[in-house]
Amino acid sequence: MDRDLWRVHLPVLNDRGIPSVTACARENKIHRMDLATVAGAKVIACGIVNDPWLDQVDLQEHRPQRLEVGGVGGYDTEILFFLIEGKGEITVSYDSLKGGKIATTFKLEEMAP
Amino acid sequence: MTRTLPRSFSLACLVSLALLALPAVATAPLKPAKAAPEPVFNRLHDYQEISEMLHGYAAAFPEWVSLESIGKSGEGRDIWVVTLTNPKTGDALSKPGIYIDGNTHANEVQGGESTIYTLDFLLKNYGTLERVTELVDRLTFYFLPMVNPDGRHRWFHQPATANFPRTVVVPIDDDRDGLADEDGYDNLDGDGETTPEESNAFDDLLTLGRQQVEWKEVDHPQYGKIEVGGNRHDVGRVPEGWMLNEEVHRNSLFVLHHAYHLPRLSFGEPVVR
Repeated sequence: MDRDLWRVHLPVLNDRGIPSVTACARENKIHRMDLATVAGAKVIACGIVNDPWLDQVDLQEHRPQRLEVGGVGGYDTEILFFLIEGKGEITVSYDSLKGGKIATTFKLEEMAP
Repeated sequence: MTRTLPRSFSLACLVSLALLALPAVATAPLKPAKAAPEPVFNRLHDYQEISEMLHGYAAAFPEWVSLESIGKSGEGRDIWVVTLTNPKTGDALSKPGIYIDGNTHANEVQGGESTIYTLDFLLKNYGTLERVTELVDRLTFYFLPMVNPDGRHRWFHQPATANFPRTVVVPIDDDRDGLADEDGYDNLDGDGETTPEESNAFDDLLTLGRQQVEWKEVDHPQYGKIEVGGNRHDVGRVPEGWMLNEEVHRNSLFVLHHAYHLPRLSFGEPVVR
């Protein structure tokens, strides 16, 4: 977006039928939500993309370095949004109690359209 | 200028990228360090037999299976828990867990058999069946085959009567003589032991029908020659021994189907702007 300021859309996929956080767990606060964290750069803002066509993002109000995700539905996708300041490689980790831990590393550089 | 992700993007990536979530490990069938138990599921097993089986699995697959007692029952029996996971894909506590138990109700003893069957099925089909391999690599399984070991022991070794415990066994002064559990309801002569005659007499008293049935051979249309008889033990919806294999297999697959559908997460391609 500007020098060393990047907007990242990162999809998290669930290819199985049970959501990573159930509605029951969310409503009754049975356990913590899924957490996404970024290593290697500073996170200015984060949120969940609720409509990629209209580019609508539900921004998280506090603690952008730790994005709280209300789960990925069964056979569904959530697109994580990060506004990141930095350069080089970053690692995004996603930690879910039911879905396990995954991580991905990629470069902050302009991608081909 | 803004860029949006096409909705079909996620679906297109599902199959290919989901497979990348797990570290690549060689998947060959497990080789037991010593002879693994070979349970036969055409009959039920009592507390002692199942305890020996669990020790046998832990000894045969020491890196994959761990056995621990999470406590003692009221009568001093160990409550065993088996943990199964692939150590090469991570520590047990770092993975999503699935907990399988059985025999919570004292008279539903086939639950314990189903639990053992599931453990046996996973261990002996790892590296052979694709879904089993994926489950054991991705998840940690916790098995508690006998939640109620005292109830299980009594179900096998005492006559089944209307007073057979369905809950956790606790000492009760049922005849109000100041002593707890020194004799059962149907110990009619008060000598501390219940004979089949006493059990039948007590059942007659309650008009429940006799629980002790003579063994006899029956020509079954599907299973051929089978034997029916013994203590009826029919209070707890327990199948006859010759039907057990089908039931435990069905129960096992029902549980594994849920395990299979625990969320499997992976990242799609990032879009950086």
